[in-house]
Amino acid sequence: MFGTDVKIIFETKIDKTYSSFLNTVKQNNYLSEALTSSVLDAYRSLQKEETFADISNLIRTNKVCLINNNQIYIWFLDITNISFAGLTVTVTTRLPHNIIAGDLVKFSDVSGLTFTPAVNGNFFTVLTTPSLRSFTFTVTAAAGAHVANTGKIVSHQLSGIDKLIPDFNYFLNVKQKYFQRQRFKVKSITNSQPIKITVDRRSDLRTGDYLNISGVVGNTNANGSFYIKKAGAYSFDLYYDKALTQAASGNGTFQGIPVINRIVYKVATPIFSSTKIDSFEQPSINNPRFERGDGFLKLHPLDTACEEITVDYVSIPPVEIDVTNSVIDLEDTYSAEFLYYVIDKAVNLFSQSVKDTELYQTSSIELKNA
Amino acid sequence: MTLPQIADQIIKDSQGGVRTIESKFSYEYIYSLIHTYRANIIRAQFSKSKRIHPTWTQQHYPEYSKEFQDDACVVKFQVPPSITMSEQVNGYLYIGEVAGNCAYAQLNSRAELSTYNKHRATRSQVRAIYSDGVLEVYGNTELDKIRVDGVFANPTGIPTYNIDVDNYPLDSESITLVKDMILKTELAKEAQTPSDFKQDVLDSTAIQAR
Repeated sequence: MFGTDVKIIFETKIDKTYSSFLNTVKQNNYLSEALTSSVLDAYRSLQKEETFADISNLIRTNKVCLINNNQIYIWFLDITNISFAGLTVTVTTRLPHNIIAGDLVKFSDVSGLTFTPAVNGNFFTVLTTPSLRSFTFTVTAAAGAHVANTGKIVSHQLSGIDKLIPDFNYFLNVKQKYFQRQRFKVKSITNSQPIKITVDRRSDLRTGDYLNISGVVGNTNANGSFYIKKAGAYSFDLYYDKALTQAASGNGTFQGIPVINRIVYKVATPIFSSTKIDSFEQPSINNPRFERGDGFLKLHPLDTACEEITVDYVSIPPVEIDVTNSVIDLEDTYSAEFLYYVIDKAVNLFSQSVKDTELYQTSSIELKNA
Repeated sequence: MTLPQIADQIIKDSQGGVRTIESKFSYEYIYSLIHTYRANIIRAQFSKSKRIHPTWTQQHYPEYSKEFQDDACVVKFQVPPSITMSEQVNGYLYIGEVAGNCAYAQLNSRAELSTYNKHRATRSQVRAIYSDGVLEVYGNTELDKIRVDGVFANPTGIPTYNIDVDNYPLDSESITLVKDMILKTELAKEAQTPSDFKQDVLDSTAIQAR
């Protein structure tokens, strides 16, 4: 189904007397509003497989994101000003940017500047962050003057992993990853296969736990992330895989002061301002919580660094319906049933605006039966 | 069955078999109910049978802390509270050496401790008294490792207890009983009452408000 097909169906459903009043721009506006509202309707009724199928192309699952400061933007970040001195560019954002040095950022819709590489569409490595609302990067050539309040950050990432979710629309689920520092001290790390670690006290580590180890000198193969197999009250072996079939091999004599963290990766539940008083609602690594505010998804507990999240969400519609378009097949993005629902919704919105009671009732019934 | 599994069953049963992230019952709240009802059931079963089921107990190895010591003739360890089984029986089944084969005498009162300290026959015995979260061990000031087996009031407070992996220290019949009691006495009413999230000093769940 193309946009032009949507136009025909839409016009079939409304009275002919409106045809001269309802031009393509107005139709697109009604359909845009209807699309947004239909996604919300679909999101609210996401319970059965059938309802997921309606907007399956809008549902993003298992998206892994890295986290700065226990928060992640779930919207574009607007730019208020971009200036440059020599080849160093300073960007000022409308809200705190949550960027740290070394991160990569990509811009869109910036006007008035000619950079090499081009300011829009390329990634730049952040050099410094002089303030909460400004950061710098370098270019190889810079000219022009920024048109104030134009442009936005559309991507923010590190090593190809996002630190911003620009197409976030509605929330479905989030898992939060934390490092839980282990209190024991390492007494020995064997140069063997598997690597065996002996510690100075009993712990709650169990076979299958996932650990991150750092700070090992000499036997450096013991640094990294491993699954463990308990070998005794004070010792455990390191494996690369969860099934404990690929044992890690030592590569030297153990030295250094290792830091061992258990990797805790659990599904978070929402926390609301009004329930923060409740002692049972307090977040912890084992009971992570999330809240939305200031444009961020904030990840609790805030006093422990969240390393990563895996998020499921409903994205903003990637394709708008244009009733003049006969090239983009809308069914590549939306199901036919969903498109019919959007059209009925658009007709319903239109009937409200022209105060056509009969059309409103008819379209409402169609929506109810959808 | 682990504690989160028991909590999930309770939450699912109270909400028509579905648990979502928007569940009105938090894990921590359900955990606290489970601990409370576990204590009640254990106490009731002990008063009936005078027997402590082996699944109720946990081993705890308190950490020795030099900074925690404030008296030259006693060694102190921080130990989580146990369930008091009856007037005469506390929930500590074994306080002794780590190997588990040499128990210290457990004293129930300061008066008893005083008698032990004064009597020449008992003065040299290693003896322990639990008071206000602290286990005091007399008779061996060189001690830095002990083991305490007990029926602890909050099983998750034991450092070696892994909440995600270890079975909850309660026998399966009693787990069923705990679930039933929580569902019938605590959650049945709450599950049917809409949550009042509004900070408006009004009970929006009241019939006249709806």
